[in-house]
Amino acid sequence: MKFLKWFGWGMLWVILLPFMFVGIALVAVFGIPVFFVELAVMIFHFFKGETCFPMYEEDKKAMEILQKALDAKRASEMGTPIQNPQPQNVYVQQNYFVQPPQQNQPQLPPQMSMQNQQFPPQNPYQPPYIPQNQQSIQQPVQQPIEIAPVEEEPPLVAPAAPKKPALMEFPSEERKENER
Amino acid sequence: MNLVLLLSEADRRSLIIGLVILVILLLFVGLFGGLCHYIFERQADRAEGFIDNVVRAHVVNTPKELRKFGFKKNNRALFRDSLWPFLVALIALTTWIIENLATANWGTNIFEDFGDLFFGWDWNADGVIVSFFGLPLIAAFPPVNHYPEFHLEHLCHYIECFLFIVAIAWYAYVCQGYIARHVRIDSLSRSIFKSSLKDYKAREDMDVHVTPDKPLPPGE
Repeated sequence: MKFLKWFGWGMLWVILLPFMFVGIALVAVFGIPVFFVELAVMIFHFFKGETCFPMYEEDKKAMEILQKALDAKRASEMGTPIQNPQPQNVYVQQNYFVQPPQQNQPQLPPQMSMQNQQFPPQNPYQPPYIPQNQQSIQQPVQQPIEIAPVEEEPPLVAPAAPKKPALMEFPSEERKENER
Repeated sequence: MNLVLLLSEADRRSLIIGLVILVILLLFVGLFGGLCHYIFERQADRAEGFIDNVVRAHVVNTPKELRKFGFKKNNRALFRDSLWPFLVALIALTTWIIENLATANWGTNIFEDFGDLFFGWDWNADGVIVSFFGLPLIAAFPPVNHYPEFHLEHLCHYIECFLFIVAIAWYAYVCQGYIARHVRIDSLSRSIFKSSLKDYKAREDMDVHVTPDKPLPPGE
């Protein structure tokens, strides 16, 4: 069957080949001026400081439009615009150690801060249940504030002005000694 | 059947040989055509990449604009593809000029010297070409009149001919690609902007629910 297929192709291409050769010859002649024109354009762009084959205006417009569409699609997929990641303090306190209190040791933050974290446990060890009082850190008991009765303030009285020294009493004993 | 009986022994032999040669020739032409078809398809697919973005972004909206843009891109592709064959031809030409400046043999046919490297057959020998009902046919394999031989003084001609043939074949391949791309862009410019109502049903598209009290009007 392959023999017949190629035989048929041969019969077809015997008819088509002369047309194809004529077409190739025409394009070959057409390609020579095209080559030199494009070469001149390429050299012009090269000495202009651009790339040898800059993009056409239509391609630039298409790239801009497609880029905008892509950005819009990404934004719609994300829901919210991308924010810069903020630093987070992560306290991994899955391990439980019974350690006596020591002096000059930094105090660990409370374990309650791990309740909302989504990190997998690093250690399968389950700490024992520690009953907590109702007076926890999250729900501090608010003591009622007692308001003291307002006492009547005494009337404002200007303080007595300091007594100025009498000029006639000057010079003192020290000045007399200096004059001597 | 009578025609075969009328033929002489020599005519029968020539007929059989002619048919075998024809079949082999058609096979080779078929293989060559298959190769050309493969190149056509490959280059045509490449042309679709030229116009893909501008069509999807609706930068070009008419067949004329698309053909114009495709022509520009195709010309640039022709230039870029033909850089290498032109470079090879330039090397061959430079070699030929330098060689002729050195030897002052400007009138030598370099392609004739290149034939030293191949077999030669005597097609004018007796019994090779016979007349079959007025048509010349090959009746026997021609005798060899030239065997391959290497002449050192023709080395430059060998190199030049080889480079010229490579450049010509390469350039023909590039030109064929140009034709394939041009044909594909032209056909796409006609098809992708064509509006078709082939599968459109106007009555299905209407947002009206037809009730038995209000039947559709007749078609005619």
